[in-house]
Amino acid sequence: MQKGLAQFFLSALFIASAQLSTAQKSELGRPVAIDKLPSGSLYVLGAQGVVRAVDFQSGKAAITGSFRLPPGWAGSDIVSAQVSGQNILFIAVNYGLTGQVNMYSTTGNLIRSWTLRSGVAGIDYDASDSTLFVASGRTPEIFRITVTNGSQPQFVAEASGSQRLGPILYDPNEQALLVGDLVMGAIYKVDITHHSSSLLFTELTSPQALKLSPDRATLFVADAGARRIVSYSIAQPKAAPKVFAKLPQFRSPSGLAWADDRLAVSDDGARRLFFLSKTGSLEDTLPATP
Amino acid sequence: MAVAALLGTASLCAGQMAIQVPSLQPTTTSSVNFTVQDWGPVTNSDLQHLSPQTFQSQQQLFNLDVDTGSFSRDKVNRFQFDLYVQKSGDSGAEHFHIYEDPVGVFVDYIAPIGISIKSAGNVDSANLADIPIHAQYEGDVFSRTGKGDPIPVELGTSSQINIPIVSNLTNLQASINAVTISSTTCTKCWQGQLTATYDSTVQPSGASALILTVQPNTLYALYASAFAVDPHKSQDTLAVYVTSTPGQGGLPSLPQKIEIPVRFSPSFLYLASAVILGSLIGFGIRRLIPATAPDAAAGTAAAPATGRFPRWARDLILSIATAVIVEIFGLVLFNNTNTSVVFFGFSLDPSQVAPAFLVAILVAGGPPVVSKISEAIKI
Repeated sequence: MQKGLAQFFLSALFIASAQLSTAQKSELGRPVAIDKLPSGSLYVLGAQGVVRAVDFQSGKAAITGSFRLPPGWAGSDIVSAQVSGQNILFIAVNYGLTGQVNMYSTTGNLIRSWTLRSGVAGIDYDASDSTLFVASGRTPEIFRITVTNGSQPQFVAEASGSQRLGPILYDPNEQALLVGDLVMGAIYKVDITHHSSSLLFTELTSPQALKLSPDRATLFVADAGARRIVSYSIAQPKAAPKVFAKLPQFRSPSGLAWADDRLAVSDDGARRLFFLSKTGSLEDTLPATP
Repeated sequence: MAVAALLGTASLCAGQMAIQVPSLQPTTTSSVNFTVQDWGPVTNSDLQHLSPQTFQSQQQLFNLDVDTGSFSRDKVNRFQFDLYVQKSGDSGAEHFHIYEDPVGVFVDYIAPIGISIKSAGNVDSANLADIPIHAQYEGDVFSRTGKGDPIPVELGTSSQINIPIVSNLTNLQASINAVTISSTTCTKCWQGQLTATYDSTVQPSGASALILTVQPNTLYALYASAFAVDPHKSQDTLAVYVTSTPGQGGLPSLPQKIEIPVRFSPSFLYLASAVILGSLIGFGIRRLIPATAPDAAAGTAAAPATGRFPRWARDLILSIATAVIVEIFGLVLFNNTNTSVVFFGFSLDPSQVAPAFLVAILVAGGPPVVSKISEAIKI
């Protein structure tokens, strides 16, 4: 009888701890940015500075690991890359008015840091040139960091007329940068060679993330204010944007990444990841929709 | 929406519901604009999970819930919070997300925000109380209280300086994140690391203190004090940098600089050594100065020395004793009445080594040395 009771309590304890573990693992916090290594995990950056790795097990997304950034760091953007054969995460954070871009291993070891006095709003990496592009947080400036030679951030160009820069994307086809403006609801094209900028797309509310399609012909934009994902044709910048996805569950889409053939969308307000098909229909969420 | 924010009033029409949030002006040179996003309808069960602060519109047409748990920063560091507006009698609510866009320098505070709500022809207004208004460029979070006079730091020992401060945040807590200290004019005057201890949390408008632990490097500090003999001037200034974060979602501030002027106070041993050495030098100089004719005559006419000590020894003891008495008298006056010693028109602090040394030379040297120096200065 006593042995039976002990077994019962032990079983109950095991079930409770397993549930706790599952609950903790399914907690995403407030995801503000995502990116995926071509042959690796999807990495999710939380507003409170937690980085989570998401992998697909039997087609279902699950959190498989995490590490925490120092306290007080507010997550801004994340980019994954291969540098010298090693998988690397570039993580942009703000601490007060100061921005920082940090180079981490995928297991959370800090390798290098660069400081930006005017904060940081977005980052992107040009693998062919080992160059990191950084959109400033409080000025319309764009900086370049050459990762391999240990240089400090160098001014590249200014997005003239911009009020508050947001996400940044390097387009290798055009050898240009696309930069979102959170207040103007617009996307600027910045010519790196001639250090000039022009207004490319408008009609947005608050572009929070930019992603090119795998063939680089289409630009996807997470438009947080309108709670939708829109797409633009790069070849026809004057054409009206198409609504790719506008789910009722969207609150504030904050990040975009390609996960195999699906577009992963992080949502800061909904505290979820949404996985969309090529046609924009919802296929899966993390945590799973109840 | 962006245009509305530029005009000073953020407004949003969400389906049948629109809200407007007018700008605030914390100071004459600063303002806070609000950007409103509609995050769509939510059910009553969604509202159960909030940490709400509930308000009712003036005509009681709407119930409003501010989710205090949503006070946070977005990915570009804008302060944000969630507002849920429910039409009275309806189930569910409309979920609005509000960003603050501060311009200019001011100190964070808590204020009511007036909003207007329009829904299906109904217009109403409400005051959302206790909303944190956060600056991007924070004003001075702390002020130093008390007099700004130089603080004495004793030489030859580690000592603590108590710096009373008060929070300028009238209704928000402040957390002190870090305090660093550096010397502005004499880095070599200090030994080891200058450190501070403090309470990390300061209540709204509350008093607190930074306790600096410092140890002067005696030789360098004496050298620095030798050239700053004015008792009202500092011999070094410590720059204390305080980094703090206002509560309820404030940004960590840039380091706020608080300047602490200090004067090095030599211990009794240093002062006594300076007086004795000065007396010896003053006495020696007096002996070296050739006697003038009247003095020489007076000297030959004087009675021969009698007693246990030779005349020169009695003169020496008298010189040292006089210098000691003058120094003690100067110290008593300076410490009780802040009266400084005025020497050739210069105000000197008798508690410093260099002035004590100089005074001892003059007193022990007597009129011959003083007149010699006067002549030298006239030249």
